[in-house]
Parts: sequence; structure tokens; C-alpha cells
Amino acid sequence: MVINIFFFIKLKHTKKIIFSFLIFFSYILNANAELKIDITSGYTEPTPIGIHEFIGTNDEEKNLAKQITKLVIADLNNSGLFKIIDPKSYIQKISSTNIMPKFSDWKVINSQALIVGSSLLTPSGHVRIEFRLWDVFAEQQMAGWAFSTVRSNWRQISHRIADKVYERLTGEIGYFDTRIVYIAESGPQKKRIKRLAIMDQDGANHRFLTDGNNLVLTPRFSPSQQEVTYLSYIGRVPRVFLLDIETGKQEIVGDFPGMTFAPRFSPFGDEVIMSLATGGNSDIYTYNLQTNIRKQLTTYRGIDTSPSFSPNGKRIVFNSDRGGTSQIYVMSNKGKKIKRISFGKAATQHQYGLQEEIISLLQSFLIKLFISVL
Amino acid sequence: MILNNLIFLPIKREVLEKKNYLLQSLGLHLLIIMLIYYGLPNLFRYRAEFLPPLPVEIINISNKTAAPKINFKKTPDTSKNKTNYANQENIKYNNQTKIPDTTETIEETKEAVQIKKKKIVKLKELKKKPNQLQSVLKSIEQVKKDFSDKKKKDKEENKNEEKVTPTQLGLNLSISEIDAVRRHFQQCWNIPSGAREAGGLATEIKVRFNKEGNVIDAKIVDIRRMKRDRYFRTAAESALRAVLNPRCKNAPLPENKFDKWKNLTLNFDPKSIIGY
Repeated sequence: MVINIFFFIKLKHTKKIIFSFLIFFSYILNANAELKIDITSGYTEPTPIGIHEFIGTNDEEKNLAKQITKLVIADLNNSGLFKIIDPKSYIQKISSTNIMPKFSDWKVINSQALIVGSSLLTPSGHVRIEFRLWDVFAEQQMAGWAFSTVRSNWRQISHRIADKVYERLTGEIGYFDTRIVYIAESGPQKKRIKRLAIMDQDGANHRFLTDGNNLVLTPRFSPSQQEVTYLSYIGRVPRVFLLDIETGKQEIVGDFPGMTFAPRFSPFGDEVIMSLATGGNSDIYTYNLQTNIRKQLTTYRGIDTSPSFSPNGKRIVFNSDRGGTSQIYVMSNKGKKIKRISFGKAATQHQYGLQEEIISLLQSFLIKLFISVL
Repeated sequence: MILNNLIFLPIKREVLEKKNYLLQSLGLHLLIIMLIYYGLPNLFRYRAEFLPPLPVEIINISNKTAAPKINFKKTPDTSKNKTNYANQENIKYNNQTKIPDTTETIEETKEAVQIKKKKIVKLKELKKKPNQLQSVLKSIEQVKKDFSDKKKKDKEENKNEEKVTPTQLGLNLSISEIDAVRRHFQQCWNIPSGAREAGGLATEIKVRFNKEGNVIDAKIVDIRRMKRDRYFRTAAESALRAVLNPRCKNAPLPENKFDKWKNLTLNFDPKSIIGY
């Protein structure tokens, strides 16, 4: 009892302490009254930035530096968010990336950010490309990176530099160091040849991945960007294939009876999710590329197709006609908690955005018509 | 065994009690850490208010513009009051000397008229004296009270008048002056193109100006959020660039109100532009 009473008294004290703390903080929060002005409008124009030509010590390095600078400028210009100030107007000539730029010279030409870089060739044939991004008005370094790689990778490094700059200045993830895989069509309309092709996002390094003997459709990248999964017809049967971009090796994803189509990788790249159709019933399956185990996720007797994982892999969005018309549904990655998310007219296409909660839908009357014609 | 009981049992009790202390101290420490965690980042932060303070400012101005009239009328009033006090005192004296009714009771005593008259005169004199004294004392007390009340009132009035003196009238920035500052910095603010979730990207920047209206020093208030939220970082940096932009030198701020604007908080909010 004594202890209890003692504790009670102590509690009283603690209450006092808490109370006094609360008063103290509330006082501080209210006491600080300074004039505040809301600025609720501005202008939206491409941010003017200066890109000083990358520095090299000898001709070879200078040549490489010139190419890299050109590519970085092209990337950032193409994004539409930046305006690269004409190098002719630059006042300061920078000779090293390790020296602070003279900010006043860059402020005069209204350059809000400044990119300075250098290329260095090593005797082993490697190249070290260094760059710094400066905030001219705040007079601070915003980013600084050094990439070492084989010389032939210079394009990729340039894209990466553009990515870093883009990321730092806009907050969004850069897309310059990405590739596009697509179906290249050629030939007359009745004898159309469809080939799988790949290129950098700026159109460089274009090459075909398949020879065009078989019809190919719906190519999708793996998260590592080293593999592509796509649909190809062998004879008259559509099958899901896996292609290694570097080696050119192709393989069928699981040899099941029936047709497999609409493949996509899981966010971790270890699984392929697709539709498998047998006897007029198509269901969604996952196929583990390491263990070769396939798992059935839906059991509805109608059409379940076009599955796609959410960015964190916990949910799957897919298309089903279980409600009478083609609609979009979401379920857990184990095939449970199925929930319809599109209502109204038929919705056919969907795409998970970068965020977990956002799915874009294509939902229109025209699409419905198009499908009925097919 | 006895020794054991004697030595160790109290210790055990102490330990038991200490457990309570431990819990208390843990609780208190946790509380302090929580307060620091949630309190410190907001310690020097100005609380965001949703509405611009337009109506409040209008009321302020009308009060201030209407006030100076009082200043000129009040001074003669106080002198009049002082003279009134003297008159009031006289009136009170007169009244009190006239009022006493003790004469009637004295008349009722059946004595000779002369004696009566003499006695009456004496009694009157006797009774008048304390009455006079009392009345004087009372009147002095009243006068004192009145004086102190008047003084208090005068002081209060003087205080009010001091606030409204013409020299200090325009110390706060007027709406048009604030608007000029707003327009000045709007010219220089290049809103971040991405601005994802622009609803919550309002950035407060504390700016210190010199007398010419040039920025000496500008700081982003919520630095902690900058580290964890890259969209906010972009927005905050764009706001900071607007403040530091050389095109936005010489902010149009009135020199005589320097004390009011030498430290300003500018709140850059892209919400309304992007349509949130």
C-alpha cells in the first residue's frame, strides 16, 4: 500500500511535469510570430541550366568528353524540362571538376544549375567519368558522381549522368538509361513480318532480337532489363517465351498443354505471370523461373487474363468477364481477396503506375466495339 | 538465516520499489524523447495558416486611421475635470453645512428662548464641528477616489492614444506592400515541373533582408522533410532559388518599416497553380 501511495504521488508529479512541458512547448509554438507572406503563383518554364563541356587532358579524352557532353545535353533537352544555355554565353572556362565554379559568372547568364565533368582514360582501357551538379543560386553542390567502366559503355554513362541530374532537379526517377523493346513490322500488308526489336530510349543501338519467321507479340522487360518475355506463335499455338538479350537464347516458359499468353515479370524478376487457356477457359498462373513450379491463381470458368503485379508484388490486377462484361479486378498475390475496381462500360487495358495505389484503366465504348469486331 | 532475513529482505523490497522507479523513469524518458522528437522540429517553425490574413488586416487599418482624433480632444478634457473637482468639493461642503437637522430636536427642549438660542447656537456649533470634519474627511476620501479613478482612466486612454500616434501608425506592412513583395518573388519562382503531390509541397523559407531589400540569408524551415522526401526537396530548392535569384534583388519593401520586414517567412505554395 505504501508503495502504491508513493507511486500515486510520483504519478502526480509526472503529471505536473508533463503539463509544464506541454505549456512550455505550446508557448514556444505561439510566441514565434513573424510576418509570413504566401507566394501562390510563379511561372512554369524549362529550368535554364549550364552544361560546361566535359574536361579531358589529351585529344582522346577530349574527344570522348565532347561526345558525352553532347549526349547529356541531348537527353536533358529532350525531356522538355530543361533549357540548356548556349555554351557561347558561358563566361567562366572551367579547367577542373575539383575547383568551385565562380558562381557569379553563372548567375549573370541565369543558369540555375551547372554541370561540370571530366573524362579520364586509364592505361587498362577503362574510363573514369566524373561529374558534379552545382546549385548556382544556393552556391552548393547538389550531386557528384564518378563512373568507371569500359570505354565502349560511354553512351550508358552519359545517360546515367543525365538520369542523376534529372532525378536531383525534378525529384522523379530518370529514364534516360533505359531501353525500349517493341515489335517492328515490315513488308506488305498480307505478308507482314513482325520482329522483336530493341533500342535505347533515344533510338540508338537498334537491333532485332528475332528473325521474323514466327509472329511475336506483347514483349515485356524483366526488372533487370536483361531478359524479355513475350508471346510467340509456334505453328498455330501461342506460347510464352523468355529471351536473354545479351546471349540471344530463347526458351519456352513452361511446356504446358494449351495456350499461354499475356506474360509479365514479377517485380523481383523471379516469376512470370501469364494466362493459360485450356478448353475455352483461361486462368491466371504464375511460373517460377528458378524452381519451374507453376501455380494457378484463379479458378473461374470464364476468361481471366492480362495479369500484372503491383510495384511491390503484393497485389495482382487482371481482366475478367465474370461480371458479364470485361472488367478490371484486383487480387492478392496468392489469388485471394478478389475485388472489382472498374464499373460502367467495359474496361480492357490497365497498367500499374509507379505508385502502389494507382492503376490506369482504358475504359471506353470504342474499345468495346473494336473487340466485338475482332 | 536471521542475517539473511535482516540483510537481503530489505534489499529485495528496495529492488521491488526500484522496479517502479525504473518504470517511471522509463516512462518519463520516453515522454521527453517523444516531446523532443515531435516538438523540436516545430520549435522554431511558424505554424501554417490556411487563409491569407486579409480580413484581419482591414480591421486593423480602420482602427488605426480612425484613432488620432481622440488625441486632440482628450488633453483639454483632463484640465476641465480638475477644475470640476474643486467645484464639486464646494458643492459638497455647502450641502453638508445646510443639511443638519439637529436644530429640530434641540427646539423641542422646553427652556428659555435666549438660553435656548444660546444653547442651540452652542449645540449647533458643537454638532456642526464634527459634521464639518466628517464631511470634510468624506469629501476628501471621495475626491481622492475620484482622482485615482480619473488617473487610471487617463492612463488607459493615454496608452490607447500612444498606440495610435501618427509616427507609429504605419509600422505594419500594408496589404499593398505585402502584395508588392508577393509579386516580386513570383517573378522569380520557377515551379518544379514534376511537383507530384503538389497539395503538400508548401515550403516555408525564412529570409533575412538588409535595408536595401536584398537577401542576406535564406533558410528552408523544414530541413528534416527535405532529407526524406525528394519531391519536397525539389520544391524547397526551387523556392530557395526564387529567393536567391539575382533578378529578385531589391525587394520593394518600405525602408521606414525595416523592423517589420527584416525577418520574413515566405511560404511558397504550388497548390493553387497545379489545381489541388
